[in-house]
Amino acid sequence: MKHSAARILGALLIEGSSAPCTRPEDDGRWPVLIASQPHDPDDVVVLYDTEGVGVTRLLAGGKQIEKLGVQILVRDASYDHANDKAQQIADLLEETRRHTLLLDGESYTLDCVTRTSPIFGLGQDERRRQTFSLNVLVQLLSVMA
Amino acid sequence: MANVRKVSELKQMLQQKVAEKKQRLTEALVRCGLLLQAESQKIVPVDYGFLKNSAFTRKEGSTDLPAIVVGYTSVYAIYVHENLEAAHGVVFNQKYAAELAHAAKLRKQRKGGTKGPFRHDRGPDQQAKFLERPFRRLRQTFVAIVKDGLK
Repeated sequence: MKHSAARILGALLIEGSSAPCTRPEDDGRWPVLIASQPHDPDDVVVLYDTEGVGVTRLLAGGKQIEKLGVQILVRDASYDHANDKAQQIADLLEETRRHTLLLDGESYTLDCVTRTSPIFGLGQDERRRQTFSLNVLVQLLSVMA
Repeated sequence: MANVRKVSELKQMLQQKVAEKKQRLTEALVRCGLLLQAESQKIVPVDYGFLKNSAFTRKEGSTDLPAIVVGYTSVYAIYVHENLEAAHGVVFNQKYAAELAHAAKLRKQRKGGTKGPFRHDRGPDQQAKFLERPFRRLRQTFVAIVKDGLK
């Protein structure tokens, strides 16, 4: 696996015309960033890799299968907008089943994305912006190949 | 009539067994909760210890559907838990080495503590996700505890 789970999930969030987020270089609303929360703009979605869960070990080859952990932080100056965006992302992830996407020429199939926490508010930062967090586990089929 | 009495006795016996199992399940879950709390305490970030001291393991739910909640009551616990960009442990000590040295010097001179976030050295294993991480690591252990408890 060439890319991290956060990077792969980030690609899903900016894929297609109805994507909930945008690429950072597009200068649009809700840019998706990986592992680093910038001071600007206010509205931003940041993905971090977190600890995964071991699922099983394949008898053939002894390969370890695991679900990969990702934390999604959604920040905005408006409480409602940040909450709505977090909900929109959660809905999209919930609908994701056997979805194949291309990232830098590599093909990944997301088998499913499981939410491990509700969407919860973390409060305000020093600039009174609201942050919401949700945690998921990602199962990739390419890992099993 | 004799048969009817035996069926009722069997029913009563089964009910008693089910109640016993439920009790054992609750006890096993409490053991899981306490283990999680203990493991979490090893890695929770500590400055003065308010967050660490606010840990709890609580029995919730009903007899039919027991649930154990492990958490921290301090209001900022969730922020510390979810903020993956904050420096903890060795990284914190390195990042704020000068401030920590200054605070230690003041304490030595008995001038009291310093204001600000640089009061005490952090333990090497302290980190964010101090509940989620041990929970995921101990999943198989929890299964074993419950299995053992229901034997």
